[in-house]
Amino acid sequence: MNRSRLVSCALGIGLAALVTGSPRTALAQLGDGGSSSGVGISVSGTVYRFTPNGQAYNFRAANLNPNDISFQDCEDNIYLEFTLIESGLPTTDTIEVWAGTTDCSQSTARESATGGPYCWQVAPYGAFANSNTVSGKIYARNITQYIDDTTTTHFTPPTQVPGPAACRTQTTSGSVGISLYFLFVMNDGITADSSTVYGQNVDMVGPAAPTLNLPIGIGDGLLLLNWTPQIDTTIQGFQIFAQDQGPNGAGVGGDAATSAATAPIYCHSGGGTTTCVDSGALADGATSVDASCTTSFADGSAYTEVADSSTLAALTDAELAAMGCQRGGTVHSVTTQPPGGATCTSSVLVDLFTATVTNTATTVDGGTTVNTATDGGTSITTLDGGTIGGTSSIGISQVSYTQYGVGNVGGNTTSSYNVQTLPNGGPLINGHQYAIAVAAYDDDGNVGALSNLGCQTPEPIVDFWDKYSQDGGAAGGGFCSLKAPGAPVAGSVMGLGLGAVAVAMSRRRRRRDP
Amino acid sequence: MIRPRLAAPLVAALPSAVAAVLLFGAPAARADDETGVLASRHKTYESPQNFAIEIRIGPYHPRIDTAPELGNTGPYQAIFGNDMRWEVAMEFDWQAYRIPHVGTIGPGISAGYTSSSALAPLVHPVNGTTLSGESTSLTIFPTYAVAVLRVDVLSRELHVPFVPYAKAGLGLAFWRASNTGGTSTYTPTNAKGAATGSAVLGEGKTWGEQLAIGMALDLNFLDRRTSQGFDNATGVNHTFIFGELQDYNLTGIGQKNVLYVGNQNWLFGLGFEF
Repeated sequence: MNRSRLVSCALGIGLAALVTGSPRTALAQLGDGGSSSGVGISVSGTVYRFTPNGQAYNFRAANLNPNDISFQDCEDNIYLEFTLIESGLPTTDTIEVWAGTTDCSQSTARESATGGPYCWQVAPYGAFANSNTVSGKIYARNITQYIDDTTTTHFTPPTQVPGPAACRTQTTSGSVGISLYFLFVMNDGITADSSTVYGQNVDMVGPAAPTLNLPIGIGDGLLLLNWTPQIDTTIQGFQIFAQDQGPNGAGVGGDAATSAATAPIYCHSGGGTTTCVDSGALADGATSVDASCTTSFADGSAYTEVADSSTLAALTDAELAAMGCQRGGTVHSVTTQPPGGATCTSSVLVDLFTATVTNTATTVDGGTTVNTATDGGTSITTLDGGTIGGTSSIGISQVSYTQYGVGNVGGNTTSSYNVQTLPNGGPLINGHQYAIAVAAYDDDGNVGALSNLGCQTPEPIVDFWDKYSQDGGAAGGGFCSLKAPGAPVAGSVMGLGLGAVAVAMSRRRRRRDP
Repeated sequence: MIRPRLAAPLVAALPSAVAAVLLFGAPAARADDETGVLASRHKTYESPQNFAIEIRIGPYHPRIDTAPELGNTGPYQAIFGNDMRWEVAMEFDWQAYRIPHVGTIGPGISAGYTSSSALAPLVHPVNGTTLSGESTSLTIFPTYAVAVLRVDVLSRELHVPFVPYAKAGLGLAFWRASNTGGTSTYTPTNAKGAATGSAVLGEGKTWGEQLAIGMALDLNFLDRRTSQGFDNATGVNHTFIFGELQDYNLTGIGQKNVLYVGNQNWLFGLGFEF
């Protein structure tokens, strides 16, 4: 091989390295007008993050793409600090930082008003000085504000950090790959002497909303949820939110306070649709219950048994719920509560913003990607039984997990959860209605749009053990229970011991025999 | 003379003592066997035969509702209905002693599993719906230790491939009642829902007797050459299928407050002697 071949081979390898390099790797390259030799620029080391007041901003866990810009990063208005290493640059050059989904080193993406897609500037003039080593900051919102508007020109440098609206610009699901171009622009204001590019992923919407299957299953201090997750490989898990709406929803829609001692109390008659009212004055016998409330409860006792030394009003909500009663200002009978809460509402379980997107999916019969449904959005059933097309709601839930979160489950296809505890750690209360919604979160920690809302009321159940015990059965207490007078555990051990001793004595006697 | 205060534990210990003799006493018989006095008469092409293993399956309907303290309330049927439930089990026998011209006798142990599950009813029906979304289950792990007599003289000496057998011994079932939230507990309450007693955990064990008779069909007669090759390769002397009528009478031995989890049923299975 001669010398010229060696040179061309080395150049080829270098070009290949440039083309195939990692998007996050900063690469020095020449712009469209670049002609300088021996000039260079690169991004040095880790790009750290800071809050607007200069405090260090913690990176997310490694499995949550810590270098991406998530919705929360943007909402917190963080800035990224870049350190540039420069060499051989004319002092007359200035540094401009552009962002886009196209090659911003080409002047057409920065100066022309025709064609597109276009880039936009993300740092004001002077943010990065022309010196050998220089640091500068770029606000996340300057990067995110036009990610879904690359067809409009935004060529002037930013003069301020945009507001939170810059965090709600994404209308497509998944991560958006943005390239940050650090350009050394010649004094003609157009031509780039040199540039380096830094890959920056942005993901500010959560996964599409799952579908909560209704009605929600009823349990004893328990609600059993099932949902249908969207097909999305970025889903890392699901968060479940619940709002306590009081006894059978009595607190919803402006009903009277549920804790007022004078509030009417409603009881149902065990399966019927009648609702009876009691004023809470049973103790003195002055007020009797409605005749429809005299039927027996599940334990066989008649309603009138409660007319003892205490009044109904003195009972706690839990005690009332155990009796099949509720305290509330308007009739919301247990027996007429629509299962699954078809009409229930919640003022707190709402999304911050949403967008409707056309579903995409990859078929499993060969890997062909179908981008959109061709019939305008109606779902298409694939050969493998899945569906593509249709629309989903993406966005960000604004529900506080600290206040309303009742469950967090990992997994991409998890589809069920049993809600047993409230955010404060207490149990779900039988007789209280809970509004429930589910949201998926992605690999950037974005909690997506909420599912449809479901409402349900936990109720006491009769499981086998209850029924057996109520019918007179007295077994149980544990595998090692010593309830029986025969003390079976001790007896068992003693029996095994006696048997072993008997066998040992028998063998010993046999060995002694001649 | 046994003092009365010791009587109850001894009565309770008796079944375990019998089981222990069955389990630990067998080596004594084997010791006799090793002297040659009771040696098995294996045919020249057969490997030694000392053990049997059975894989068993059959319907299981615990006789919980027959407990006298329950009267006619039938809590099991009320919750779980009459749907067929199945038990799967495995039994291991040591054919410790061969009775000449009769068959083998020795101890055997078995462990099984069965479960009944249904949606739990609501105390107060909701909108006409009587069932909750929560499941309630009763899981039983039946075990027993028995003496097993297999009369294989017909098969071995007359080439009639039927092997009648009988088993008798002690049964012990562990059981657990549960719901979606875990092991069930019951706390007696008054009409207001206030507790009137301590919570009782829904798990325990029940002792009883185990009796069974059955008939095995030795499959070696289908192809003796293949079965001989199987024996030479694996040491399995006989492969058999069987049907068995078992009476798993678990009503408690030396116990009070017992959950009757026993069962009387036909079961079927596949077995190997080796």
